[in-house]
Amino acid sequence: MSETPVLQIRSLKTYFYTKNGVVKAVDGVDLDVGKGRITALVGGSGSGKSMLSMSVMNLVEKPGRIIDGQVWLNGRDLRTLSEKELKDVRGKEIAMIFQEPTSAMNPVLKVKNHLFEAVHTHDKKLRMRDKLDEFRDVLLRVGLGNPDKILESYPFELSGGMCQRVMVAMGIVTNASVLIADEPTSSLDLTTQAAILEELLRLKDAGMAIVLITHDLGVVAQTADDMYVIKDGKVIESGPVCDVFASPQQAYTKFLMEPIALLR
Amino acid sequence: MKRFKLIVKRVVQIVPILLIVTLLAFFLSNVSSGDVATVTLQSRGVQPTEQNLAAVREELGLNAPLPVQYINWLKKAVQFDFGISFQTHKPVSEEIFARFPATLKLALAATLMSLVFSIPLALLSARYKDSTADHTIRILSSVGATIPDFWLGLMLLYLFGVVLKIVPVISGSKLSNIFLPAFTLSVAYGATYVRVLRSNLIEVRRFDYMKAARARGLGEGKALAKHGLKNALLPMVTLIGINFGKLLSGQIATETIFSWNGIGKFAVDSMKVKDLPVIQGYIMIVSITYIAINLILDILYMYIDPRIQSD
Amino acid sequence: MVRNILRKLLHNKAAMSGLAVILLLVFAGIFAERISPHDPYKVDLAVKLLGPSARYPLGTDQLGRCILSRLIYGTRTSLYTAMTVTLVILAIGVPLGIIAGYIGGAVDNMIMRLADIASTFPSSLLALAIVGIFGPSLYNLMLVFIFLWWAPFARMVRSSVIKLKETEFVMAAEAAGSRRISIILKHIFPNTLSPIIAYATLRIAAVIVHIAGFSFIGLGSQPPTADWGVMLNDGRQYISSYPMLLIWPGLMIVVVVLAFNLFGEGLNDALIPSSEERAIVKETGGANV
Repeated sequence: MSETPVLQIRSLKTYFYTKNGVVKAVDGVDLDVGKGRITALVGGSGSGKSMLSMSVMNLVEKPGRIIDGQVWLNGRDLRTLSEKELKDVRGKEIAMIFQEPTSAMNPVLKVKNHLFEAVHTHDKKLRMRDKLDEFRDVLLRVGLGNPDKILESYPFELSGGMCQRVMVAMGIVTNASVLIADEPTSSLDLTTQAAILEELLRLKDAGMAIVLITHDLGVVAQTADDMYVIKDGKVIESGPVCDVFASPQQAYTKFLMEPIALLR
Repeated sequence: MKRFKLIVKRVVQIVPILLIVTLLAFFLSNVSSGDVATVTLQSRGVQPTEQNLAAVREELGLNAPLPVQYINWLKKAVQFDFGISFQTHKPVSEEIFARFPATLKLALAATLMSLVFSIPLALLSARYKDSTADHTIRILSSVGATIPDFWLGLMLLYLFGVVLKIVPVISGSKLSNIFLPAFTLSVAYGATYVRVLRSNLIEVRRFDYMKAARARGLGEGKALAKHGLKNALLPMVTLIGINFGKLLSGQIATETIFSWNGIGKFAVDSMKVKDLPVIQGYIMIVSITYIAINLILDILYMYIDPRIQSD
Repeated sequence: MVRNILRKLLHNKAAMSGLAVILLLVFAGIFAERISPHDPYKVDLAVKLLGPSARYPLGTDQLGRCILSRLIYGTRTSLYTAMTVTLVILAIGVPLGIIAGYIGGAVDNMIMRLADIASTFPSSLLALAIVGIFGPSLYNLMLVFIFLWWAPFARMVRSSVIKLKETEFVMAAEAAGSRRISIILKHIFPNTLSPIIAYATLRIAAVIVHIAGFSFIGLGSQPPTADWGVMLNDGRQYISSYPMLLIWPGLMIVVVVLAFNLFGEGLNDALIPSSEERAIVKETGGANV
């Protein structure tokens, strides 16, 4: 990594204050995400990798609270920005693909309204009809045939996999410099999964910095450049994917890799 | 297809209600104090005697067995023929339809006003949950739901009519005077809507699509208004509609207080002078309107909520 | 368990002040003869429309009757009516709910259909019809609410009977030889009693408002009865000159209704732990007459 990373996280801590004590969801994480690279966050469920992405966006909800750390994006520390400035960052500089595609879409809005909102929020002058061609194109790229029908559909009329591809399309149309993709391929069949990963690689080549949150090391091996292994809110191992795969240092990493070793 | 079946089911459910309503209205003229023939004669200004009573009984078909009388009455009722008002000597349906627009205007104004109040207040309350604003709004809505509309109407009339002298105390149903009666009615409904909408909004706020909207750069208030409101309002459509139906059936107390010449005031005024044909006509017409509105609502709801279409 | 509920209730200031007001009014109603300064029906045109004085603490009305005394007797009318109506709708709704839930099938269907009709029927329509048939009186008006308002109680009881019917301990007890209906009856009350008590308390408030409203438009209590609705109706023509005639009875209604609502909601919070069930009990509200 010769260039300065687009996104730099330094000793970020997000704690949840519950009745039963403090849960350290993110506990002093350092992370670098380079331009034109795919950075994978790997860990089991509950490891804090999803909460890490919400912390980056500063969207942690009560009883959770970000208590310490810096989030540098393009030379600015997001933690020092006002809510108003943050609104401009969210969805414009950092876009997010959510894990649960069906629940992350508003049931009473059509797909085209979702796509349009992703861009219109940051450019009020845009008109829907000027963007429709682009939307169709993006939907085709994520493997959704018949884009005209998809645009006019409501989320619940689509399958989970289709929603997930729409979510990816929503991430793409924003043209953000950082894309955080939380398990973008978890509910897809292998063919569609390949199409999505290919699209992520294409975006990466176009210069986007991509954070890929996943528990699937197969996906990491195929696409990612760097990886961070997260356990109990802490980074326990990190480095270029080929290095970590060649000689995992931690028992937990080895444990995560077992299914892949078996396949080989 | 499923939608069609649902509609048929609703229509079938209406039948027993209609039966009860028609029986009630029919018995109103039969069981009520005072013999119908006598009352009819008196209303024509004729002294009842043995002969003319018998003649009137024959004329009104009162000698037939009750079921036959009921069927005959029903035949007329479906043509909106409820006889002549004892009081005004005009056909009852004509009198009621003449007053219906006033009630309709009042119902529309009250519904509109209650929504205009409640939506922003609920949004504010849900957006800043547990803040001072939220607490104030919640207390206000509790108070609003507690004050009986008839007393609120009287107090408003006293305040604006007597103390401030902004409105006439006896106003009549001019459109320029609609504000106070509509406001009176809107308070109780609006208070309910604030409560329901607030809790719906808070519920909705937990969904992932709200987080996703925020991640797209929408502010919390905007996300709530754009993504939350529609989802939170949908389950309220039925409630609002049912209340509109209630409003349309004539708000007797409010219409009386503000001398608003709607059907509710007409009905209760007629009750005072025992103008039975009017009461019968009122019960029939109002029930039919009410039932129709409920049916329309059910159908409408299937169209507004896209989720029902695909099931 | 009971101690827990009591503690929760005792710590709820709003509920306790509601209860205090209710007790005070019940007391006033019972001992109306002793505590009223005057006979509420004694007409004396020589002292009509007086302001507050030592002799008439709240003044007199258009017929020279003592307003305070009429308010106190009005408490009796109002609470007596509301409590009677609520007890009767409980006595109708609870058994019907048990029958519907326990027997199921066509009987259940019929009862629930009736409940649907009862809960959608506008009360003003039935009031006009009944009053039209039997003439205006408080008792006829009470019939209207008895006919219409048993439905939610039947629904609540029915749904918990159905839930209970399928639980394992009922089936186990049945297998052990007990009769299912007696098991259900034994368990239904502890389980359903809480929401019913809470809801009934809130209903009392609703009955009070509705009865006062119908009396106000002349379909309920008739003059000269000492009734808050009647007093409001009597006072209407004096709105410009003697507004106190309107303010007192209205305040009484608001205070009583508020007291029952506060206490009912306190009961609701104390008795029903999950907020989901609580929501069912909450009023849907709306204007009334």
